[in-house]
Amino acid sequence: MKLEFILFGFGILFCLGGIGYLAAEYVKYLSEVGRLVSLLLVVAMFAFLGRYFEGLGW
Amino acid sequence: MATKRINLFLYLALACFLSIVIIFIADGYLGTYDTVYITAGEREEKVEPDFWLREDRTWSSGVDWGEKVKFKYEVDNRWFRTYSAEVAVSVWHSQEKVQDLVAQDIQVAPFDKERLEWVVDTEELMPAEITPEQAYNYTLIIKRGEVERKVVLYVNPSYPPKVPLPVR
Repeated sequence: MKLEFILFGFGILFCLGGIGYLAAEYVKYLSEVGRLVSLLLVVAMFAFLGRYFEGLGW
Repeated sequence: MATKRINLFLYLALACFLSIVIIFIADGYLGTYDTVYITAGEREEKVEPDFWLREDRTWSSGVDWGEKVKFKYEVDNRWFRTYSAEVAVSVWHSQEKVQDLVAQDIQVAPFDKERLEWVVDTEELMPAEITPEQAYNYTLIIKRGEVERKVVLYVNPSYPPKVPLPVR
């Protein structure tokens, strides 16, 4: 397996870990609009990531 | 060209991720938050800042008759400018003010905290006609500028110890 894919995997895991930490700590302080926008951005982020890996041929 | 299009999705995903982080920081972290600590007897209750974010929420706390309740009010200024406000604390019963406890201007430096403390003596606040066997309620109103926090204090009745009946 290419090293860059391993690094990509680590990067994605750390990003998800960071988002999880932020969600656990600060989501209760978000306004309703902030929560909705964050949810939409999370969906969009995973959608774009899916299209990216699809383009790579995974 | 195809590679550029593929990388575009990666950049968009990264942009979404950065936007999420910015929203959490700007909307979830930055701002002014207050925490109330209520110490009655041997227990301390902590009212977190997110409790007050929902409208018209009132915290309730039970205390024993004659007990002194210690309050700590902490203002956390998570912003780049100094926060100034007047803090006024008063005790109310049935929509009437009973006593003013605190009236103080505070100035909180950027990314710093300021703490106010006061004590509520339930025995001192009780009307003369109320006996220890009766329960009573007070509302503590904390005003910080335009912000208002309410804490309801339920004073539990105190029953005298039962005297054992003499043995015949």
